[in-house]
Amino acid sequence: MIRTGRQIANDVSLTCDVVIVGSGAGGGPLAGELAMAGLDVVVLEKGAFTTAKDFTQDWGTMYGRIEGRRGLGTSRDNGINLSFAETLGGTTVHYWANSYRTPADRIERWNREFGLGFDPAGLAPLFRRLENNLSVHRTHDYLANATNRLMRRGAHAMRERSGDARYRGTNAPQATKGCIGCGFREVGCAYNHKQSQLISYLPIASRSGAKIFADCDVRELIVSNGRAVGVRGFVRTPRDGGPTGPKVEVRARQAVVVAGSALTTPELLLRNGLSNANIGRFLTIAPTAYVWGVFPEALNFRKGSGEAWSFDGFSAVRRDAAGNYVDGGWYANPDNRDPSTTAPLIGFAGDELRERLAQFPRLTAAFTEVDDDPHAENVVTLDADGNWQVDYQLRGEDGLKALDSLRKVCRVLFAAGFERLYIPWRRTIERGPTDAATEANVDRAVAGITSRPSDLSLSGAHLLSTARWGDSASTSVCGPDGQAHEMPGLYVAGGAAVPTGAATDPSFTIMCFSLVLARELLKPHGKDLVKLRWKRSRMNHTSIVGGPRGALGYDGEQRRLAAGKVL
Amino acid sequence: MPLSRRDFLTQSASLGAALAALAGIPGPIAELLGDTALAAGTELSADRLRTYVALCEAVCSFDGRTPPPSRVAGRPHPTAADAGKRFAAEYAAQSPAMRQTFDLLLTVVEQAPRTPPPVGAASLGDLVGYGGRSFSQLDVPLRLRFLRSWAADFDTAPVGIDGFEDVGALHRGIAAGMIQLGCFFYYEDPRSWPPLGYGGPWLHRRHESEELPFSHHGHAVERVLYGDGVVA
Repeated sequence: MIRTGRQIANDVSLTCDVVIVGSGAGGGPLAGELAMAGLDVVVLEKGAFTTAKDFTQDWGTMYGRIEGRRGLGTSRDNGINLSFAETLGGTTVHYWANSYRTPADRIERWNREFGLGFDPAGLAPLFRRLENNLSVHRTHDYLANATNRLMRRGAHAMRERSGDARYRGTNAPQATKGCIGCGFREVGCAYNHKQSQLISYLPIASRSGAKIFADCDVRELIVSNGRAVGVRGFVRTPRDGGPTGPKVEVRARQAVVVAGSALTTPELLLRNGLSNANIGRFLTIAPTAYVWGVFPEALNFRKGSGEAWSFDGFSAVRRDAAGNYVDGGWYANPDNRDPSTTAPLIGFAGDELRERLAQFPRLTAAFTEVDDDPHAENVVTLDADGNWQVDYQLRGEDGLKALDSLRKVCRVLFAAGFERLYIPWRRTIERGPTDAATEANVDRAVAGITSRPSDLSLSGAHLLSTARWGDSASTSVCGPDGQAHEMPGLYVAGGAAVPTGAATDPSFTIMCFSLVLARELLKPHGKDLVKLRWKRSRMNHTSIVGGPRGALGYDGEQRRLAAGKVL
Repeated sequence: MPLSRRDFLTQSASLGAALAALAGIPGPIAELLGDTALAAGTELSADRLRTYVALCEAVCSFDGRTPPPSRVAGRPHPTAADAGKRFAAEYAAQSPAMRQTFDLLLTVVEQAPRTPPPVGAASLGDLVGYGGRSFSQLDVPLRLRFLRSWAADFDTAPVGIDGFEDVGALHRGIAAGMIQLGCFFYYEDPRSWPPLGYGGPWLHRRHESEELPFSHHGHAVERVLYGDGVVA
């Protein structure tokens, strides 16, 4: 059952086994798995119930529909745009469906620093379950936009030229079925091909008896004898500034799970007076900076999937003998943007902006994401009205990582044949007469950037770690089973639970944490998550069809390039 | 020390008040705090709409003539592209806190060029050029000069208010944000796309003028996804 705010006329009072606040990468899989296992589950989502019919493929409209604070959330100094979804299905409605398993060295770090005790062999069945249920597979080249192919070509050229094997990347594993490569997945898949929670776990949860409420703003935890036993909130339509409607109260026999974003989860915990000093602290956002390139020929980078290939060879930090930072600690992705998002992000104004946008068919974008420090004092706190506010500064090594990422992505794009690049803030880099001269131009331009967020025009879309799991209340908010150290019955899932950045797109990691939690919550019922049968649904009967077989590399690409069909 | 949004509002207004007091002129910015604090309506005021359109003209490279032409070199003027209307609609849909922030930002942008020492003036020449005019009264090149100076060169301007530690970054962020807002609602309009060679969303294309890997027609099929017949 799913109900939207408009369908709720009277106050709602329910009792269930598990109530889940949030329905995205954290709440969706948890709801689906628990409901399939026979538990009585209620899901409360602040955002609206938007579906494929609502996805218009333009950013201007979709920001208001699916993004938190309608796409205008920023840090307190306005220096960083913070992007997170606020809709049924959460971030999986606007993500690229990239589904990377958590790197082994990151799991090892969590075990070492936070005592999670994750056994990679024990996590593997959970990842496999997610991959099967969400149809995760390596993206085919023919679905990628031109930027993906050019960046890969540039990375190959740089690897040859520099001898540095880290100039490499991988085709992204993505959760799609029958993708047609329209390139608008980021603002909600209008064709129901991306396997967002909206069309995967949530329908399964609904069919299995879960009650799902959209437009429901949870404001209060119900606590009895020190134990979390439920939540209270109200219906609000629209979610930003709309009038408050009927009250919603849900009591849970087993668990209250807060699975909002890394901003709204600590907001709820702090608003309810939880005292763990780590709530809201250590926010990581994987700060993102953009590079724009002008190619000699028309690219039409709006066509085809962005982020189908990831430039991830520099994800590990390299240090010198003294332990000083040398390079790495970031990853980069191709992107695609329409004019309404290209114009603000490219960082120019007036004639400079007009002239650059006149190159739109030849213009393309890539962005870098820094694996930021999980121990920095970047925090989520409450403002006077009890709403989240963020203080985030690019600190120490993170600034160096951002600059290093810009340098290397610029090199890759020039090696791919781009004639001119634009980097923050209003800096243009021209191709030089030689490779050495070009690289000198890159170094000179990047050296002119400071690491102040506003100079880098940063944004953050991978928000994590503000109520993280760990074995000690001195360094974490919840235990390795997801239960809050200070309050039995209260669990945290979603981005807030992940102890640090994931060193890759974290969506799949967040889902895996939810399955770890589901496994824990099913233990008292004598059920083993990985042995539970997945309920087939009638949804998404489409499948990958056609496309070239065998090697999908440069040969086919060159043929299509020559035929003028792909780009 | 980090700033809260409320601190930001208060201190920005204090900055304006201090600057106005220094100049000895009736302070339009000094009136700001009460105005924004009481901003309860959902309608963007005509004054702020004018400021927004002036901002949009500058950022998107139009000359600000009155009345505005509908098209310039094939490009629709921001008024013809309904940039102001789109911003006003977004303003109305936002939370009261965000509307308050918009009000403050637009008022600061409008009044700062005529409030010495001016925010966004990197030289005496800038100050003379602004000539005591508000933002929307400036010629477009001066509006741009103001925004760029504000965005890039704020470090050189004297501030000196205790507790306002990161004012440079804060104001650069504001200017960058205003530039972004100035172009977002213009380039959101489909009428602004054809001159750029952008064909718009696939959903809106009747015929496939370009090749996708697979046809997108017939893919937006409604399916029953939820147990109670809800269609996604």
